[in-house]
Amino acid sequence: MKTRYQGYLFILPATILLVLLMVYPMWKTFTYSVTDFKLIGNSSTFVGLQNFKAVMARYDFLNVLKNTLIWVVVTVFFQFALAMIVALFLNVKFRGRAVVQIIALIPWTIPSVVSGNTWKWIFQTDFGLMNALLRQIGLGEFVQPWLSQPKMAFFSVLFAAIWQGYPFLMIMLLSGLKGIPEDQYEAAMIDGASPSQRFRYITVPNIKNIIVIVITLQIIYAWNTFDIIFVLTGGGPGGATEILGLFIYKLGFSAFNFSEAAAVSVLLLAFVIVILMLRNFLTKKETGTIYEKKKITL
Amino acid sequence: MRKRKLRYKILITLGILLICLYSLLPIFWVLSTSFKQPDVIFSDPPQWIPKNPTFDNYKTVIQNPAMIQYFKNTVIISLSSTVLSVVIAVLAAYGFSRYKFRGRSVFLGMFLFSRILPRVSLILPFFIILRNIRLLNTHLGMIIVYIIIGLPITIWLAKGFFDKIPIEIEESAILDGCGPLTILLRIIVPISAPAIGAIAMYAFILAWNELLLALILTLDISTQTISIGLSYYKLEFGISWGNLMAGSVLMSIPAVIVFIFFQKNLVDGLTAGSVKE
Repeated sequence: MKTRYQGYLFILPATILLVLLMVYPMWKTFTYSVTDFKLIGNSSTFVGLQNFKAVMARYDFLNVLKNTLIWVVVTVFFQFALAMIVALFLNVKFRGRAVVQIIALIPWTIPSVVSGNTWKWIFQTDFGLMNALLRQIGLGEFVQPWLSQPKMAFFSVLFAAIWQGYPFLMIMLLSGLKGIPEDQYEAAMIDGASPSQRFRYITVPNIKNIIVIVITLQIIYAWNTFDIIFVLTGGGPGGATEILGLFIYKLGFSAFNFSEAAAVSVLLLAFVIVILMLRNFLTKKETGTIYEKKKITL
Repeated sequence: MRKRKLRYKILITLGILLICLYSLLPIFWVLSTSFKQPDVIFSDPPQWIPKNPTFDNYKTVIQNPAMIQYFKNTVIISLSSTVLSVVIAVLAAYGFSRYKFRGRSVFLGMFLFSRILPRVSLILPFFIILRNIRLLNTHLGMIIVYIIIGLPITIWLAKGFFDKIPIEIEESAILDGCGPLTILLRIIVPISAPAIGAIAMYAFILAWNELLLALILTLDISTQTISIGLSYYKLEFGISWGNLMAGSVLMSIPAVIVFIFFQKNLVDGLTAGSVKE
């Protein structure tokens, strides 16, 4: 006999963990952000928005925010473009495709600490592969300290993050592409549609919902980046590669300013919720194409 | 027509080549460095394939007591959290898949929503909660944290698979007088072996690769994981690129092997989870 309480029993262990380590922490983050919580003594009094004001007034906060915005826009853009190109390519049938697909996914599988170290070694100034190759092919004037010069450091870290992160988008897009019925393309070919027309009028509308999902997910992941920057530059030189994740970490665990770090966390959460609402709004509006009636969940 | 076919073939080959180079060249460079003697590491022009390959870097890493401890901690934490994740996620997914109870969609929604919570915004409360329940800097604390971080996806993967199993199989078992746990263990779990493999793989790689939480929730060598060992390597040993690369290769091997083994299941599960007909 299936009874209701059995359903509750099955989800009980997971739910206890969820409440203990997700719901409660979120609530705690919120309370820390509006009190003057100190680690020592556990005392806390309500201070309203004072922590938020203090964070905004920090001389590096605006710089971090600017870095984060550029970081999110540029990584998501390039990861998406690259993922789309590779997915379109892997959607063509050829011998050895399964193997190439696994190879394309490998940068995503190796630990982020390892990919951080990999690129750190490649971008190393004196003995790194990048500079050695530039010298070898006669482009010696481009040899430079990739990670210790503020502008270049940002681009180098971006490059590494794109390499590591794009396969996830690629595999999601690819599965969307594989679901498009072949006959739509055949019909379009008979009508004499060019490849770019087929892409625009068949491919894109068919996978529109997946596109929206992977872009929202990737925006959230990018906003949340920590590992690769921590390993490559630690946020340096001079804060050039510091984004919100590192900022929270440093504020909370180097400066031990928990309440201000919590205030930044709350801002970050608020941003994620806004993005999600935007996502829901976009996917709800776009269900009417003739090719597609798919319900998308997270 | 033949000319077009040739052009097509060239384009495909070129594409394959570009993808392989882009994905594998950095990794190949790491491998190559890890087998080089110290003087060859700094040679200019770079040696792609070391002329006198050596295992010295690997020996140094394997014989380093700190490294052994990092590996040990990582194995304990990731294996335990994998096993527990599978148990908890399978139970929850079965509940969500087979029972209709009040608040079901609210609970399910909560799990899915927690997937997109930024991890960096949870590090403070994780730290304080673990400190208050005295699990900071313990294996158990890390294990619990990794289970909860992975739950949204592990539950989602398992539920997606269970939903596809026809309920008729279970109905006959109910008539035979089997209880729900017996049905789950004897009927559902054996059928779902591939999905459970994917869940286990996801949970394992998550714990094996994680850095941020380990950085905050472990305080010394007794619990620190290999990812911490490798991100602080230069501080402890001076920059020895050969050793660092050997350590990186050793850390990557389990993750990559497990991935190649279960990648089809995981990819199918993840994408089926996001596109629901």
